[in-house]
Amino acid sequence: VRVGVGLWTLQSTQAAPSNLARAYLRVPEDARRVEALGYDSLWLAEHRFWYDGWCPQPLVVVAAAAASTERLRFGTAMLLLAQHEPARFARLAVTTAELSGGRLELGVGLGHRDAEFDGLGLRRDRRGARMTDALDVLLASDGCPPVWIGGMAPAALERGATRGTGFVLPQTLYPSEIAEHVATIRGHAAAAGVEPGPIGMVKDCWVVGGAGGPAADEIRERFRWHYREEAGSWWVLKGDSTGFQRPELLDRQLQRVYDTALIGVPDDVIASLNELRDAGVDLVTLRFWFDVTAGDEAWESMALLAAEALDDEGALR
Amino acid sequence: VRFGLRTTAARARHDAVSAERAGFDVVWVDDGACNGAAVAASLAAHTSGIRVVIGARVGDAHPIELAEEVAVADLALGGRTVLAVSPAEGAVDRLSESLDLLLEAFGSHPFRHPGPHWPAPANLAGNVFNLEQRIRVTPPPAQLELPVWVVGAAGRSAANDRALGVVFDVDEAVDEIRAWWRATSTSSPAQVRRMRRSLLWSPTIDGGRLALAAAVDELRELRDAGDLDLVVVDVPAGHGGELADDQLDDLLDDISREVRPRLQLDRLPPGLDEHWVEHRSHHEQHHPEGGHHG
Repeated sequence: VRVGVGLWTLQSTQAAPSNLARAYLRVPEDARRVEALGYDSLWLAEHRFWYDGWCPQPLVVVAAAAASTERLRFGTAMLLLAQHEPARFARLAVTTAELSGGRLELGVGLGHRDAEFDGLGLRRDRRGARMTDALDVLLASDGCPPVWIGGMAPAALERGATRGTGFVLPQTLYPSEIAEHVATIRGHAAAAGVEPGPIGMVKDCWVVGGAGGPAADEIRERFRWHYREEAGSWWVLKGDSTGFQRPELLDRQLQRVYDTALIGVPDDVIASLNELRDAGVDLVTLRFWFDVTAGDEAWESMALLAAEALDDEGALR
Repeated sequence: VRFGLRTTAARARHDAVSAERAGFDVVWVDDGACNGAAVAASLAAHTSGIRVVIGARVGDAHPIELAEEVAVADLALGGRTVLAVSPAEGAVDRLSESLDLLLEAFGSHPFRHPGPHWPAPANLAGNVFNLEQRIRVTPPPAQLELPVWVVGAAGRSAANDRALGVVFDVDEAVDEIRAWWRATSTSSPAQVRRMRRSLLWSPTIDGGRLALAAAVDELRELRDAGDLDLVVVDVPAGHGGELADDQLDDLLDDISREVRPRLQLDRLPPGLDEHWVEHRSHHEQHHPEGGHHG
């Protein structure tokens, strides 16, 4: 199983303010550091129209960072394909793939915030059809990079499996559920008569045991802080309220996020990665890099795991 | 007068490095078959001072997407980006609206844009949860004021109305430039001082090299016709859109050593031009194979 790290989102949040101009200039340096640690890939994500500046065009950042690295691959988990104009986006994807020397892994999803669609003059309830159109334009383009589809809704499975794309599984699956989802994907591909694509997964991750780094409980609290802000502001619960308006539902829904994070000493995390491999996962993006963790502590945590877990190719030993 | 070089996506890395080394101020990449913002951002690792113009056609896609791409490229380039827009084929009537949306998007405040083509936010039926009445395009560019220029005669009045930089296209005659400059500097003298004036210039190549004296004379006349700030060297006519690497390096060298110095001041003190001529002939004696200085 290949092992990447993420997610570079370039936010300046209430909990972790940062100078965005400096943060962007540091991404190529961060990428060189991830490459030197031996990871397979560095992953970014996309959102728009949000107070913290969350990067709305991650491929432009990939174009800058790829020029500073030689081997490292770059991925998106996820890029909100249904929010982009299909032909314009296909050109951006192909340009970025070329500029990176074929080192782009394009993970695409629908997006879910009404405000993001509305700001661009799009209807959220038509995002599925738009996604299908954009995917077809993209996959028909010369030089299209490897495409991974996020989500496990029946329409997403159908869309991806019949086109032979990779899949990025939801991070909140328990190990026992993963093999079942992989089988579902392979079943759809077989029914469509296409070779199934690879399976990816993002996992929130932290390796403890370094000198002076935060303890596991402290990291759980920071993850909780991060997700409560995002889900509390964006998720729609019970059909009509934001997460913060339904705190009891918010915490219940987020419990899965906290429970499925990989937090522990290197051997614990390696054991979990082996479980993912055995369940059929080909590529894991370990999310060490949050607004509330970015910096020296995250570098130490990533280095601890890399030293114990990775082979020369950035895969699990 | 500053100098720039217009290049293609395929040559951008080589040409940007060469242009910066030759002392040019600007490299220009077009957004077309390749994405201009991505190409611009990819130059961040290879250059450190040169400004990067993204030449984009607007009117055929949502301007906010372009605004986001350019803002992110500007952040990746540490604030070295310029956006030069021209109307896409058949989209002249959408240029003004595109410019207004781009300028709002490069601010750092929530706004509401009424349309007509791209109302933002659109408040469409079906979008119901936690909607905004005004949107904030994020992040803003690194620069507090990202330069937005308008290329070509078709967009000149839109540029004038917004006090944006103007770029005279390769096919615009010196008399047209002079007429625009006289009219605008008379009617809006305060505004015109804030409008950078640039020229896309396709030089004449004679026997493989730039015709130096003719180039200096031509550019002096153009400079004074429109009080130009920037000359962007386009690929010379008759070269199929491209020069070989060594031809391009010769062209850059000729412009930076023989043309650029003679364009900076109103006049040169007696003897300086002769001093430069002597330096060149001395150099050519010692490097008869041609090639570049340094």
